Parts: sequence; C-alpha cells; structure tokens
Amino acid sequence: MKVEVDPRRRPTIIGLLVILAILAAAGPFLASNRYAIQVATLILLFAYLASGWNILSGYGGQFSFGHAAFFGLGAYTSTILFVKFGVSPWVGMLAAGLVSALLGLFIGLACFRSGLRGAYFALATLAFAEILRVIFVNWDWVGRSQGLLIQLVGDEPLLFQFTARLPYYYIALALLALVSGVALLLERLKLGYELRAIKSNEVAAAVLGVDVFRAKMWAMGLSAFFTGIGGTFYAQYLYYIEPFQVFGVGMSVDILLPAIIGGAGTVIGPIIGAAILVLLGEGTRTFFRGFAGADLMVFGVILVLVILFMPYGVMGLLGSAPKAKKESA
Amino acid sequence: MVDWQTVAQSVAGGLLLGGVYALVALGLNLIFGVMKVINFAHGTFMMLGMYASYWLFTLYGIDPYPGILLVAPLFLLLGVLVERVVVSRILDAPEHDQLLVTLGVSLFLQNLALALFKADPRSIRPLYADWSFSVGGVVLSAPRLGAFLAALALAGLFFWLLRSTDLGKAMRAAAEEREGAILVGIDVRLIYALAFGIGTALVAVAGSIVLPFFTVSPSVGETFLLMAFITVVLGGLGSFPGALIGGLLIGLVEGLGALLPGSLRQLPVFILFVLSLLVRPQGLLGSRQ
Amino acid sequence: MQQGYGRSIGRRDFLKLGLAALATSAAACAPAAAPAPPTGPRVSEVKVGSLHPLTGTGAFEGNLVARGVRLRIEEANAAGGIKSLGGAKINLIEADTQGKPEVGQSETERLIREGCVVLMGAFHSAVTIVTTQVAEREGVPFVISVAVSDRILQRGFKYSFRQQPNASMMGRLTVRALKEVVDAASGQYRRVAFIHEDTEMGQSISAAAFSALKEAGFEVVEDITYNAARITDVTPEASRVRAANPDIILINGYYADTLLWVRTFRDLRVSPKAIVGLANALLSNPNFIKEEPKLAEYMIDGNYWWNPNSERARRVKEAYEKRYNEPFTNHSAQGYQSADVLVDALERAASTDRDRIREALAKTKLTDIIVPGDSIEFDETGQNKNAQPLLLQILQGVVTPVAPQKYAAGRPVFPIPPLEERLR
Repeated sequence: MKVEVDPRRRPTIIGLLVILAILAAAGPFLASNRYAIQVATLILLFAYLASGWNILSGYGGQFSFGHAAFFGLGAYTSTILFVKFGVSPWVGMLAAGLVSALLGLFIGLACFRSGLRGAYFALATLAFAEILRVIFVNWDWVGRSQGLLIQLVGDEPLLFQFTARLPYYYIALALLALVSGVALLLERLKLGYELRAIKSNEVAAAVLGVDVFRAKMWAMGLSAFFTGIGGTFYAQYLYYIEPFQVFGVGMSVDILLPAIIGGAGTVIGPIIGAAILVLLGEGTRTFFRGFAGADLMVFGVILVLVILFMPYGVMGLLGSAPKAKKESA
Repeated sequence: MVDWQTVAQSVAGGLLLGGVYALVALGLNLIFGVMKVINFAHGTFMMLGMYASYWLFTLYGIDPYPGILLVAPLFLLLGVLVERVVVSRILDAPEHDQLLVTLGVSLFLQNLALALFKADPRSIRPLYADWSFSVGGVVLSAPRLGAFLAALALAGLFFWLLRSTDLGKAMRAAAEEREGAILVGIDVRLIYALAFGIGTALVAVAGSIVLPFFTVSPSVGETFLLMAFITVVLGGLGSFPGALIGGLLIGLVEGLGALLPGSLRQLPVFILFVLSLLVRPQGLLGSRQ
Repeated sequence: MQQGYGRSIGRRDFLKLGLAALATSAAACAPAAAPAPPTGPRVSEVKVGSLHPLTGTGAFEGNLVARGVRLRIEEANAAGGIKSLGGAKINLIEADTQGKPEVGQSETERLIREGCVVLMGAFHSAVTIVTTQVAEREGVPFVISVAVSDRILQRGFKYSFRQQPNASMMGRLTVRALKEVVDAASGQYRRVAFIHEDTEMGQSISAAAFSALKEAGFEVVEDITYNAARITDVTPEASRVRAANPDIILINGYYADTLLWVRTFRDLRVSPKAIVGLANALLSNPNFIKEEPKLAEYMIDGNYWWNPNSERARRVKEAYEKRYNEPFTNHSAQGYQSADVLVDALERAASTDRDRIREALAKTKLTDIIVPGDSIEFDETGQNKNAQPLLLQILQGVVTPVAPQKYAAGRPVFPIPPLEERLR
C-alpha cells in the first residue's frame, strides 16, 4: 500500500505536528496549576472524542447523534473488567474499543442495510443510545443507576491510576495523536476517498462503483472503536461512571460539537473546536457566576452564529475544509 | 398487580396522552413537511407556551383553554420572527446544521426561561382539576380528557386549513415542489414563515392544554420533544394523518410499557422506533422519499 | 495582606486586645472546665468553596441549599468572623456544578486553585462522589451540605464529613418512625406499595427502606420504579397500585413527578390510609401546600428537617425568611447546619492549614444545633452518627414534625381521612 503525500496535504501534517509538539511541551508548565491541567486534559479528551466521531460523521457524512452509546459502553466494559474481574484497564481499554466497535457494526448493519440516512440515521443513533441508557439503568449487575465506582489505589501506572495529573494529560495527548494520525491516513487511503464521495453524493458514488455499505461499515467500526477507548479514559479519570452521564444525549452532543465548530471532515478542526468550546464553557461559567443560565444562553447564541456564518467551522474560515453539498431528501 | 382494569386504564391513559403527542408532532411535521427543517427547538416552544398559560392563569385568572386565543397568536408571531431571523438562513444547509442551529435556539430560550422564571417547578389548579369521569371502570380525569379532545379539535382545524384554504394549498404546494410553487407565483418565503409560525403556535397551544395536569419548569420541553420526533418518524415525516396516528400509537405503547418491571417503560417506545426505522423508514403513512 | 509593623494601634485593635485580655483573664479565673479558646495567626480571610447545582437539574433545591450555607457564613462574618484567627472573614466562593460530575470536578479543582481551604457541597450524590474524590486527593476537607448516598463515605476517605442522615438512615429510621405511628393506630395496616425513582438517590434510599420494611413486618404488595425526568403520565403505574389495594403508599421522588403521582391517585380515586414520602421533594414542601391545599393536607414525609423544639432553629428560620423573602425549607436548614459545622471547626482549628481543619472537623462535638440529635459527632467514616430524619405531616396547611416523639410539634393523624372527605 503506497501512501503518497499529496503536496496540498502537507500543511495539515505540519500543522498537526506543530500543535502536538506545542501541547507536549506545554505539559510540565500546565502541571503546576491543577486547574489549568484539568481544563487542558478535558480539551484533549474532547478533541479526541470529536476526532473519533469525525471519522464516521465528518469524513463519512453520516451524522451520528448517539455516539454516547459507544462512549458509555466502552466506559462500562473496561470498568466492569477491572472492578469485577481484576483486569487491568489498559487491557480493558482495548476490550472497550472492540466491544464498542462490535456495537457500531451492529448498528451500522441495521441502519445502513435499510438505507437510513440524514436525519433518520441521526435519530436512530439517538434512539440506540437511549435504549442502552434505559437498559443500564435497570440492570443490577452493572449497578443500575448508581453506576460503578473505581477503587482508588493510589499511584498504580499498571492499573491506569496516577496521583499526579500530568500522566493523564500525556495519555490523552497520545490518544489524540493516534486518532489524528488515523484521520490523516484515512484522507490518503482509498477508504477516505470513498467516504468523501459518499458524503458528497451517495447515489453518484454507488454508480461509480463504490461499495457504499462496506465503506460506511468501516467508518462506523473505526469511529466506534476510538470512541469506546475514550470512554475508558473518562472512567479512569473520574473513577466513577453512571448511565445518565455516559449514555446521555448531553454526552453525544458534547462529543460532536467540537468537530462541528472546528470543522467536520478535517484533522485539526476537532482540536480547535474542543479548545474553543471547553475554554468558552469555563469562561462563561466563571464570568456569569451567580447568573444562572446566562452561560448556556451565550453558548446557544454562539452555536447559532457559528452555524449561520461559519458552517464549515473554523477550518472552513481558513479555507481548508471540504465543502459538503446538501443531501437532497 | 396487573388485572384487566389496570390494562384498560393504561390503554386509556396512553391514548389520552397520545393525543397531545400527536398535536406536538403535527407542528413538527408541518415545519418539516413544508420547509424540510428539523426543529430541535420545538419542545422549548412548548415549554414557553406552558409558561405563558401559567402566567395568564396566575396573574389574570385566565384559564388555559380560553387563554389559547391569546397564546396562539403570540406564538404565531414568535415563530415567524424566529423563522425570519434564524431559520430562513439555513433552509439549504445540511440537515445536521439545521439540527444544530435549532439546538442553539433551544439552548438560548431554555436558559432564558431559567434566568427569568428560575428552576422552580410550577403548576396550576384550574376549576376542573378534580373532576373525572368513570367509563366502564376506567377513570378519565377532566384535564387529560380535555387535552385529548382539544388536541383532536385542533388537529381537525389544522387539516381543514390544509385542505380547504388557499394558504393550506400553498403550503402543500411548497412542500411538494418548491420550484414549481415559486413558478406559479406563490410567495414561498411567506409560506415558510407562516408554516414555522403555525407549527410553533400549535406546539405552544399543546403546552397550554397540558398545563392543567402537568408541572412546568424550564426543562420540561425535552421529554415531549423526544416523543414528538419519534412520533413524526413513526407516522411518516411529512404525513399529517401519520403524525396523528403515530402520536396515539406512541402514547399507547408508552402506557402499556408501564406494566413492565423497573423503569423499563421507555424501552418499548425506543425499540418500536428503531424497528420502524429499519423496517419501514418512511413511516406508517409516509411516502418513500 | 501584610501586617504593618510599627503602625499605630487603632481603636479596633485596642478593642480586640482588650477583649483578648479580658477573655484570657476570665479563662484563667474560671474553673478548669472549658479550655482557653484557641488563638491562631491573624489572617484577613479564610476562603471557603460552595459547590451546588445552581443551573440544570436540581437547580431548584441546589439554590436553596446554597442560600442556607450563605446565610450562616454571612452571620459568622457579621459576628466578627473567625475569632481564633483574629476576626478573619470567611470569603465564600460559590460554584455551579450544573449537576454534572465532570463540571463538579473542574469547579473543585478551580476552587482549590483559588485558595479554598475547605469545601462544601454538592447536592447530587453522583457529583459529590467525584468532588470528594478530588478533595481527598488534594487533602482539602469537604463538608457535605446535602448528598444522601451511603457510598460517598464508604471509600475510606479521611477528608469528607456529612452532617445529614445518609440513605440507610433515611430509609431505616423513616420506616421505624412510620411503624410507631401505624402501631399506635387501631387496626392492622401492613400492606405497602413502594414507588421510587430510578436514579442514584432513589436506588440507595429504597434499598435501605426495603429491608427495613421487611424487618418491621410490612408487606410490600407492589414495587414500582420510574424515571423522574422522562415521566409524562403515571396512570398505568397508578392503576397497578390501585389494583394491589395497599394500606400505605410510600413514594420516593422529586417534586414534579410526585405531584403527578398524587394527582393521578386522586383521579383514580385511590384512597390509602396514608401516603408517605421517603426523602420526598414534594410532600414536605410548602409550595405543594400552596398549589394543592386539599391534596397536601395529611401527606406524610420522612425527611431531613430542622428541630422544631430548638430555639436557635426558630431564629434561623426567621432570619432566612427575612433575608431571602421565601419560605425556609429543610434543604436550606441542611445547608445552614453544615456551614455551622464548618464555622465551628474553623474556630477550633485556629488555623488555615487544611490538615488542622480536618482534625478539628473529625473531633466535632456540636450541641448547639438546629437539626435533630443530641449532638453532631462524626464516626470514623465521617458520617454524623446522631443524624436522623423526622416524620413530617401536613396538618392545617403547615408541615409539622410528628415523630419521633422527642422532636414532634404535633400529633400524627393516621389513618388519614378518605379521599372524598379530604377533597370536600
């Protein structure tokens, strides 16, 4: 498999490497301020999650409103393996990715075979996440609505627990680098071109010989895999998961927003989007302290303005985002 | 304990509420049918409609039902305003962008309500709050029965509008074939604004008729919104009879779902939803698009 | 703030010195019963963080708790601040958790960063689990204002303390008080229908209540779980309850959903011998009485409350209602009492060192309290062992504690009059 580096793509690679390098170097400086590193780690986590979502929904154009299903399932998989069977969360993380990928393939099979697209597909994914939530809330073995607590064992790197905050930051950064690398690779591989064709005009793509179903399934599987791993990180970061949080619609929205704001279908978009959203969230919450609801009002307005005037996100403004045509209903 | 009376009561209760779901879905359907826009802020308008009725009752003693004469025009205007300012700009945008813009509007309005009215749950006690009718062992409470009947009446009014008035015909034309409608001289922009306005008015009125037996707080719209989406998809996006039947069906399934153990009550609705998407994505009465 | 050496002694300083001298000499003369009040370094302020859901789910109650906390802190500052620290004012920094664990986590980190030496919060058990974790890791004492789940204090933490009763206590002691009331009535009333919501709160409390019900000899004839956030109609479930013909209906839930239950029971003409809440947000809420006066009468709730026979509680109630122009609720009472524990500990610690504050908290033995119990004392897990809920009943439009006897302000009415009579 020969991977050619299209000269037009070089800026993206360079841009990504620069960003990653800056983030890596910033680590020790951020670490001296426990609040700053907490915010930075969240930015990295959501950049990672948005990038994972991006594979299916940004590049592939199959807008998912229910990625919390993969996130939550991943979080529960690794946590159950650890809490009930003593399996190290590192192994559990891999298992989480695989289990989520399986769920993704199942959902993909059901939806893509029926030709679900657009809003229908989005709502279907939402429904799946809700189904999982209801199931887990009523399931004794996983703690029902009380969820699962991870025992604090202090500093145990092999068990994915650290007393310092910096290791979490670097793990999140590594994950982000991984998924961004995959996205970069995707842009060059045949699969990437197929997805772009499907996103722009599915019927035409099929006519041109693209195996639409196969391409979508690959995108779904990869996207779900990475999202599931993100769930494990979240569980190991908070040491506590419960169904309303990890399977909730809010989580699905939090996962997709950075990609939309930053620019869906780009490598760097999710990273920019995550930074903007997390910082904006923290900023408005601090600024509007005492005025209940004001920060979310501002958020809503910004969301509207961004979509109206910058529909391809920040990357769109910079001219680097692939433009998508409206899919005729 | 599940005996026939419980089942009958569940069916009745489910159908009564289903009428309300249908009304909410009708508004959503109108907006989608005519403009092809997925309106995530629909539930928020219902919440605002409930608050409007609440204040009319609490401050001026106006019962929600006569209050409809005030609420409907108010929200018609509000809907038109939102359409002109925000929605008209995303008519041609990808569907997910529409979802996100309307989500943004929803966030803004919901938190505006939170800032203005606080999070306190509020309810009213109209004259007929305690009345109920017993039909063959099944108890129907007046507020719920009233809501059901009002929903049906409004749906009927709406169908008449669609079928027999020029406006209705123009809306159907614009829904089916936009270019053609423009060619024939229909002011499509006006139609869209009115469609959004009427859809919003419908859901705000749904809020009014629900207030007598329901508690309002800024987050109350979300529940109905989810049900409305499911109803619309189940009944067929773009089909109005579909929305009506879909609403009743969803209400019924939800009611019967309550007979399940635990809080699995919501599960049958979601499963039905997913199944319908897979087996018949165009919905019960929708046409394949 | 730097202490200016060599500045002249102002009148306030003279007064303070004078008082200190007086106090010391008084202490010296007094019999060796009370130890001399601790004196620590003079600091200008002590930063205390308050984490509650001010927006989002639980915002209604979250704000009530936060206001209770604020009232106590304002009182402390008005009374001269923390005397053992030279009159240091408490700088209360409030944060909004939005009801989400990761927001709670971020806000906790931020408050610690801003210099808070002790924290309070967080209302939601899920959020509190995470925030106490952060606090434990950072070595910052955390005084739980409101959060019921047992699990919060079952992790071997040293820095978390809770004044209110936990879920087991709520369940167990409410059932016990209920049994007393039921036994005192003539007739056998053993059939209970148990309705509970499905989040963390509902689950933890109902688990404890279930075993307590069995022990007390009640028979659970119907058991219903429901989702408070999504419920629009409880007619089917209510008909199940009706079919089971219970003597007592026990409900654990929040405001809007319980109102739905109560109204639906009215619609279906269900007339039990009592409707009893378990830490219910509606059945002991004055707003309920305003909205549905006829339905509210005779409703019972087992909940955390303030001690009706405490003079101090009465004064606090007045002060709260004057300050905020709204009824004083049990949520605010818990907020107030928790802040009171904090203020007391700060005084005894005489230090802004977090470990010293923690030690002082652990040694708490507070008797001048506004909640039931002889004193507030924490066990090794940080739970106040004397905490207890009260059984409350709405009598003549007023929420009245009716059991246990010691804290009663009225006599319970059981069985309650049938529905038809109550609606007349």
